[in-house]
Amino acid sequence: MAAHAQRGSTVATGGAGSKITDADTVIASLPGSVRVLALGGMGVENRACTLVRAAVRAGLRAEVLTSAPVASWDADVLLLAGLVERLRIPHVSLGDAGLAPGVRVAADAGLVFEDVDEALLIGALLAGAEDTPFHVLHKVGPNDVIDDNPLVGRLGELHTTPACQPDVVFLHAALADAQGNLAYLGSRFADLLLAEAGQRVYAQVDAIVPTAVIRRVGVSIPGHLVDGVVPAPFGAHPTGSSGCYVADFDHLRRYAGAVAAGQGAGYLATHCGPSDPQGYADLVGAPRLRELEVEALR
Amino acid sequence: MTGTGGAAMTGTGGAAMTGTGGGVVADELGASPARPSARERMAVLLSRELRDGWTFAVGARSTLPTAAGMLAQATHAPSLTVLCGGIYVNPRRLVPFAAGYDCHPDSVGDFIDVYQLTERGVDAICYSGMQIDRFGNLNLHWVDRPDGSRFRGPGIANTSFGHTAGRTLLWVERHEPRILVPEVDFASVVGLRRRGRTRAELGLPNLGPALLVTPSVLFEARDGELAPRVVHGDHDWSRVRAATGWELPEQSPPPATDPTAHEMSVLRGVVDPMGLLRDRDDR
Repeated sequence: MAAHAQRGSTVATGGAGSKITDADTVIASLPGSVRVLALGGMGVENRACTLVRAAVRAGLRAEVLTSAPVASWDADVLLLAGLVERLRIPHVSLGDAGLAPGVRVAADAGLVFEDVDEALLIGALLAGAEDTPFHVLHKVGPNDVIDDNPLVGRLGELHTTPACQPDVVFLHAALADAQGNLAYLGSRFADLLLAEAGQRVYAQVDAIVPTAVIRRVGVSIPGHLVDGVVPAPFGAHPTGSSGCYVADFDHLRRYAGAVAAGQGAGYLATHCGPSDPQGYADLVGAPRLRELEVEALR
Repeated sequence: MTGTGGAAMTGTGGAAMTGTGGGVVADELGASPARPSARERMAVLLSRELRDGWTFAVGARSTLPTAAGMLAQATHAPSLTVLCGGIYVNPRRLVPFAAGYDCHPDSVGDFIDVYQLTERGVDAICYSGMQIDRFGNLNLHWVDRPDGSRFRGPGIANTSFGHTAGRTLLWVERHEPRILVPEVDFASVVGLRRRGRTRAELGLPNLGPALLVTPSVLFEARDGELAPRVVHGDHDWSRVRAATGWELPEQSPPPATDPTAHEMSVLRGVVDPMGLLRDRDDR
């Protein structure tokens, strides 16, 4: 959240007044371990996979990994790489491609699950955005997620959820201008809330466009909340980018198969290796990317 | 309410126990007969339960309930509102991951909308689970294996709809004893009764689970637990009983009304032209 009093430093490489940067520069600007890392998007759409690949390359550690309520490949590879101590995401799966294998690998390695649901998570972010200590919830539980959950407080008859202000937020948007104004072509999911609650907010985008274009399309997240934008065409692959390309379920199935076959480390080395978006796009192949793009246009 | 949808453990099958499906119906064009798959029958049964004017929420991985909602809109409930993943309002296209922008929704919300919807409630929510018990408690978090290890499930995005939605509609795509268990290991969402306490005793104001659809049976809430209302598809009741983790009556319930030619025509021609609900060798 660039406009926040505790804002992080902008790491632009695009010249004076520009917030354009690249994924490796963003990761290099962060401490080696962050307290709370938050991922935007939902399910298999708009996941900040280019930034996550850079985080895996650099070995960025997170004490707590959180996300909008449904996460997928992005959270899973961070878990597979052993970079997360505590998982605070209600649901992680590969969508139509099945269970998220990195979750199981991390669970066997001692990952701590902080069970939350949407109300706890969004309530915590609302409190974080408002800079209040907690958010009141009066319609949670009873169930085994809520009962005896240490993240659930009490205020008389009401439940509360403590504020969450992620130290670092990674987002994916279709478009941005050089000043960090983001335009989404579908839902903005919980991304605006994450940007308002977060301390340092970085967005990868499929394209950098003139401010006039952003104004015409409509600003989804204003640039004053964004610390840096990373040009990353097809950067959400193997998840989709709303309005631009759909998720690559064939790839996600191959990923799950590789982990099941004990080849997770090799997968990470290959698919998180390329340091520039074009290198990754070449790895996937232009014909496949074209298929995913065409499907989004149907 | 994203992520409340199909549990990964439930897979895509469903016909294995019940044979090849229900009655053969002719499509409206008089062309080749269409034998409904188990998933198509389930979508039809669910659609018949949806009422015009309702707001009906489904999870992110909820292709089958989304199809049911779209079928209801195209047949008897034109004013039904379908929320995919809470965010995508009235999808026009059934896609593999139901809550994707490629579902061509009429409109789009965000998680603030979902939060408010959750608090204020909808008319019906559709949930699945990797375990569901006789009381309709559902589990998407973890299951203890016989060897003492723990299998971690995908989790569930939204539990609150379980007590703010008017009613809960449950579905599983496999009718197996490891899924339909006597008692869930973990109650991600509470059903009609939990640890001996009724919903009223737990302070839950709504109906809770109103029904459960499996590839063989439509259960309904009756006397505080899920009881079979009808069977569907080719079935052997003794095998259904053996595949259910709680005691079912010896006598088979009556068969469901087969999908009509109109329902199948709309389902295959309008709702699901890609054949996502068909058996894989019948697409």
